[in-house]
Amino acid sequence: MFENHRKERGKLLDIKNFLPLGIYFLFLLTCLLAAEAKVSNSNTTTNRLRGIAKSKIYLYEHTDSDWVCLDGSARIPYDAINDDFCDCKDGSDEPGTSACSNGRFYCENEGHIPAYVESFRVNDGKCEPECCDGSDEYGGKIQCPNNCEQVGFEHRKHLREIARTQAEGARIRREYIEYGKELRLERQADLERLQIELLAAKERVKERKEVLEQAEEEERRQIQLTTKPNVARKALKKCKERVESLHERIDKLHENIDTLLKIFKDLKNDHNQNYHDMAVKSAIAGYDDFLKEYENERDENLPDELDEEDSQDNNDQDNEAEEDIAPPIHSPLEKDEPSLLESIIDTAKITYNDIMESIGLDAFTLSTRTEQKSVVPGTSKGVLVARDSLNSAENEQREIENQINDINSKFSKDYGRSDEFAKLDGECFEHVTGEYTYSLCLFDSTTQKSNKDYSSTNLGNFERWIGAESQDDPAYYTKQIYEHGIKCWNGPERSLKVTFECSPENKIFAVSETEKCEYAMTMKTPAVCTDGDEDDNSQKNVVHEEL
Amino acid sequence: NQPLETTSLAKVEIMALKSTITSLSLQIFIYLCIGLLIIMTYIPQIGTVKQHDFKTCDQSSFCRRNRAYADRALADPTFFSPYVVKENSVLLKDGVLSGELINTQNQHLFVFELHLLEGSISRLRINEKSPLKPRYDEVKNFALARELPNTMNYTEKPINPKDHDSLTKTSIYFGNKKQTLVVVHHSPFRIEFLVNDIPIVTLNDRGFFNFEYLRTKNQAKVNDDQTSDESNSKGTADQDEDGSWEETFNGKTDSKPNGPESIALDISFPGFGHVYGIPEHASSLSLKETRGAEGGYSEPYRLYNLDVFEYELDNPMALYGSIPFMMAHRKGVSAAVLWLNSAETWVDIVKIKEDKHGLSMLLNFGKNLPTSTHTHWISESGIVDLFVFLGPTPVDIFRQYGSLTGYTALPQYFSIAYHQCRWNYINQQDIDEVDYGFDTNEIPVDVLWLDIEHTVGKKYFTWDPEKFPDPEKMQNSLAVKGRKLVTIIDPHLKRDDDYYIYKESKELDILVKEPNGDDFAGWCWPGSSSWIDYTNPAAREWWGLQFKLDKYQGSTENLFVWNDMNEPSVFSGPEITMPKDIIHHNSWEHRNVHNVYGILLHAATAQGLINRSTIRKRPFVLSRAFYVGTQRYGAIWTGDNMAQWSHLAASSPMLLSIGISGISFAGADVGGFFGNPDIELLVRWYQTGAFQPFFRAHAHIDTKRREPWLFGEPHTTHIRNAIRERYALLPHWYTVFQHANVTGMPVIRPMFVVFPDDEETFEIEDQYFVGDSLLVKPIVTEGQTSTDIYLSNNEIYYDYFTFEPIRGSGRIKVDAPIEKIPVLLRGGSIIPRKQRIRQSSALMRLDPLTLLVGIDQKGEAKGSLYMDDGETYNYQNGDYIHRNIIYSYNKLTSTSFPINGDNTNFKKSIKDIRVERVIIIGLSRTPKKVLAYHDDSDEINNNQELTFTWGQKDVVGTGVTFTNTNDKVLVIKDPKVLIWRDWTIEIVF
Repeated sequence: MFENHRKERGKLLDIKNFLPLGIYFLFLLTCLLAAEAKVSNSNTTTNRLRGIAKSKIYLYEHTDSDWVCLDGSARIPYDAINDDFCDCKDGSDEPGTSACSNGRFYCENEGHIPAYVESFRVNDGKCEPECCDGSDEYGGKIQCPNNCEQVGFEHRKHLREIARTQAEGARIRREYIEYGKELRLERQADLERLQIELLAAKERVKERKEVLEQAEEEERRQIQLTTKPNVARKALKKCKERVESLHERIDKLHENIDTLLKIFKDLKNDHNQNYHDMAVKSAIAGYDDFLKEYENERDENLPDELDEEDSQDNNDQDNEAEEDIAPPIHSPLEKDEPSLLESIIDTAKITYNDIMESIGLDAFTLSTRTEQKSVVPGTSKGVLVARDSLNSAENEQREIENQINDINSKFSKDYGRSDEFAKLDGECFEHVTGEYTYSLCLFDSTTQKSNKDYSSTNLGNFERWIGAESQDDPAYYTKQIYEHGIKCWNGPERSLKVTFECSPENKIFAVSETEKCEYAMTMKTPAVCTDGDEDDNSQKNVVHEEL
Repeated sequence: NQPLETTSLAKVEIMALKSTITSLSLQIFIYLCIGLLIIMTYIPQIGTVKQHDFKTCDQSSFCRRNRAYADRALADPTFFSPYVVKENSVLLKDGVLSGELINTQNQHLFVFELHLLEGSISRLRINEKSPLKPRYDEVKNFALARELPNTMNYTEKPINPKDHDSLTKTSIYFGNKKQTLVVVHHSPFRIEFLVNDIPIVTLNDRGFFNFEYLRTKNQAKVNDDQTSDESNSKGTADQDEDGSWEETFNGKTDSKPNGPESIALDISFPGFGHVYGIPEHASSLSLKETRGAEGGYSEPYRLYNLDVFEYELDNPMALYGSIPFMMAHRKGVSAAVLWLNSAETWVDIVKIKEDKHGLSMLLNFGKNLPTSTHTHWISESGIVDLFVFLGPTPVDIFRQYGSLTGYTALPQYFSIAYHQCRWNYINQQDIDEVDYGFDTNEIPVDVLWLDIEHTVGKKYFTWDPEKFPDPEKMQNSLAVKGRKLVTIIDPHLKRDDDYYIYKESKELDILVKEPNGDDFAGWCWPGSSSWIDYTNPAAREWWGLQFKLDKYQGSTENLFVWNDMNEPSVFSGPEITMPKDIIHHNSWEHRNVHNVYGILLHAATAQGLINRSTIRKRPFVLSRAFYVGTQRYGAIWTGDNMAQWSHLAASSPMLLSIGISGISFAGADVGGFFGNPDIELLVRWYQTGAFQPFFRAHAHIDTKRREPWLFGEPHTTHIRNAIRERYALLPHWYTVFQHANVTGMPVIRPMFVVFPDDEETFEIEDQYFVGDSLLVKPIVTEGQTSTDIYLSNNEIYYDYFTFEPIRGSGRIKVDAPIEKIPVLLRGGSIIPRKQRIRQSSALMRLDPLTLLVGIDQKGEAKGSLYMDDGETYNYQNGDYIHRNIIYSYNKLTSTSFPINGDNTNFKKSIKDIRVERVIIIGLSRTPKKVLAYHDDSDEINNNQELTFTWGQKDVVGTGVTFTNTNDKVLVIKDPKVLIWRDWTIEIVF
């Protein structure tokens, strides 16, 4: 019941890709108009055949009978073609006028390349940049010059320039691909080597574990012979646990403070200044005040506390050193023990030692602050040496495993059809706009830095390629998305889409915030340049064939 | 009050955090949790209107006092108004009845003047006889287009000695046929207006008239103590109760150095069941009762220009604009009043079935009691200056009201086309891309808009050089396509001495002042700001000069202006506006001029645009605040609405109310300002907006992009069609605007205006006419695909899109698939269209026309077409054509309206514009042939037979996406008649 008047667009000229060049052409036109206005030598064809492509003229040949609309919708007199009244549903009877809302007008553009414009651009009193021959304006509202010679010249020059940069880009791209290949091979080799090393390391760990176990067994036997579990040890353990849980608590609280500070910080950074909300404003002011004092307090107080702890710690160590006995396994927690706890432990140790001594087992007394003699489990020389040696073997293994993981993770990264982006992995680029500097570290993350206060906001981390749905689509490797950046006040997590365009040079071309907290970046790179004789000539159209 | 509590709580939490942080006790965690909870519960509140930010009547002491006065008067059966006309003080001279009033409770003296004006209008002015200091009486200079002359056409009714009553009243017949009678009753003071001996409007009928005289704080006590001793205190407003000399709201104190000075009057419309007007409120077209009756409100309608964040619907709360104009209507008769006061004003409305003054008999109600509407007007300061418009038809009312306050300025042609706005198009590239998006999607647009972010730090008249490095180039590239740019210019100025506008205005001393003489400082977008005092004529003149092309850097003649935040909005002020004790020009307190502040900015900006270029061009300025007379300056919109179906629905009654109150050029943000509309809502909003006078899409900065092509098909097509239809109809819209410009008729008209005798229409607010020929019923419910439309008088209509005839009376079901909203062409109408939709209205200027003729049951139709250059004032010198197009006796003729105009120069400029197509709907017979000729032509041979189609299913090239389903449609191909000439198209059967 409804007509859909949308039309097929001219294939010669895809207007959607026209914007940058369109502006360039407007500029060009202005220049040319200023130079020498050359009046269009328009009507060599008759009015009847105006706006029709040469290849289509046969459809409009004069016959004795009526003419039939190209869609067959109506039969009209031949004279009704281009009579400035729309008779055909498909607009085919008015190729040369603006009468049909769905028609197309053909500009011959001799000296340049032909183009179609929509009928509504015909005789609207405005020279269409697409019709450099000025043929779209024959109604007398405006005189449009024929610029096709110049426009064509510029266009050809432009095409040559594009071809040149594309060739240059493609050359670099081939280097990238070569690099990618080599890198892949190198990594493969590394991986193989590392895997062998890993086997060896694992074996080593296994051996040393056994040695340690033996040493421990030996030690255990020794202790079991000479000691019995005692009350103090239990108390000590309990104390340790308590201390540990208190520390966890403190850490937790620190975390909570940090979380809240972060919430406030985000609120401050991200709140919409344009809501004139006094409550939010005063909360931010309060946060600022708090932060100032909090930081002052931290600056003033914390170091003192640390000093105190440090000195205490040093004292301990000094004492222990004096005794020339290996200290008990030093957990990082114990470092922070308040002195009260120390004294409890000391008291407990002294009691224990008294008991030991009283029953004649001097050898098993524990070292206290002033006196430490006894063997603590896990401290015998054999065990210590074995453990050290195991640790180092384990570290080695971990190191190798990390390297393998690293390589694997790089392998799992998708550097493009021919690894052409491998070269750019981790490379960072910056782009300065008025208010912000944007930076993009490829395959990693992207940030926005304020040029005013240098605060930095994560806009997202590399997620995947999104140039097309299917990996087989040549466009697939022309667009990436970085997601899960810092959440916006009253909005989503920030994200950024980067579109790659061919250029011999790597640089960020433009950044804009297309939606609230959704950014779009255009990056120039040779990695998407092809010159046609690639093994994968799929990405040929990355530089748009403008005009 | 809540937000402050929350704020201080949040502060307390931060303090708590501070005090405990070093000890790292567990308490911190608990406090933090509480703090966090408070913050979390606070955040969602950002999304709702804060009713508690705005006063109720009870929180506004003068409103509270006057309501209490009314309550006491009603509660006491022996009450009578203490105001009486002083004996022997009455004088009738030169059309003015003047005299003195005395308040018998305190002997205070007042003077009154009753003016009998040309055109069945009367004016009542009351002031204190000798006030302590002058009371504010300047609003008339701002609001009125002209002072109307007194009529000399009146006669005093002689005193009839037999009629005792006639000794204590003065009766005067006036008006053209002297059919209007005004009766001033002396004791108590009461005025009745009668048309054909039937009372229409009565003043002080219920005795609520109350005039708080100026006094000093100490004196006052003594005086009133004395007077209250000697007279009964019944009905006396206690002028010195709490709040009279100082009042505090939300922690902000109004110092009120002048003490109580309110005025109040009750105005009754006997026999009228419906009153309309007093915008701006998000309320019904037919106003509701306000004293707690079922279905009504318990708060009065409030008129106080305010920036209300996310306003609530169905609410008498004040909004951005105020027009104290009320129209009453009953079958056969309309009347209206204008309460000319620019201070805060409250209006109570009650409707009572009663038989006062023998009304049932007069109105032939028999035993049924007629409903009368009683209103109570309460203003904080000023004098009584009341206009009464006596109709008697709605058309008369609009003419009378317009003759006083001015008619809608003829807009620039582009400004009634489509506007694309967003807070904010972020930079030049963004503008280029949006501009280009319209082209690639074949959607016309005339104006792109820049909101506050285009400036440097919200300093208006500046451009952010990073975002907009070359604004002139940007405007010029828009101009190539006939497109314009609008930038926002607000009245608050960043207090920054490096900002030239602020610096100059400070030096010129034209800023609003604190009582101590300092420049007033408040908070707005740029932070600490000051406000230009537009009540100062020097300020207005200086302001206008800022728009000179060489002064406003980066502006061109293709730039137009948007004045926002001119209520004025002051973030830090009481009720988000300026404190009332702030001082304006001539030492007037802000309380006196509040409602007129916004229009003065609007007027100054418009004048600035007119004067900026050598060829005077009509301005286009959009304002958010408005007042009586705004129609003379430009357009307004309904402010910050929301992307909700209910807000789409509310746009119709709001715009109709604003329209009948004088401002036709008004619209609502298409899509809704706050929030993200789903695509169905957006499509319906475009379809509605295309049939509202000001057609602009706008969106908040936090919303997702919603340019028409971002939603994919079929949605883009739906939106495209809605906008294109607007462009096709621009010749009709422009003609209707021109009609408003000379007659005062609203551009969109409520049903009761078009059918004043059909009582069924009196409450209809969800359908309306564009002009008098297109009946529009917006679809405002999700998922709805058909609706009822009310038709009056058993006329014939045609579906505008399918040409399907629709007959009947009462509620008729019509289709409303997502592709269209119901729009009906009223039988008997002719509508001019342009069907070649181009990129902008300017590019369509010289295109041929299509005439759409819908024939009525008598086989006739009529319409008109007005055209001028669309931008200058040359039309005032006759550079226009105004065609009277009539279909009658099988002939379609176009002749010139017999008024001055039709200059040859203009005709030359449009000499080629022809009628390319005539579509005639409703013929009953098959035409045999169709002839066309220019009447004044001797080219007889141009009298030729035209090609036509009859009953063809598809009307090709109509630009509309619907095809006709009516097989009785005649489409005449290209009669080639020129629009500036007289011509005839003859149909032979």
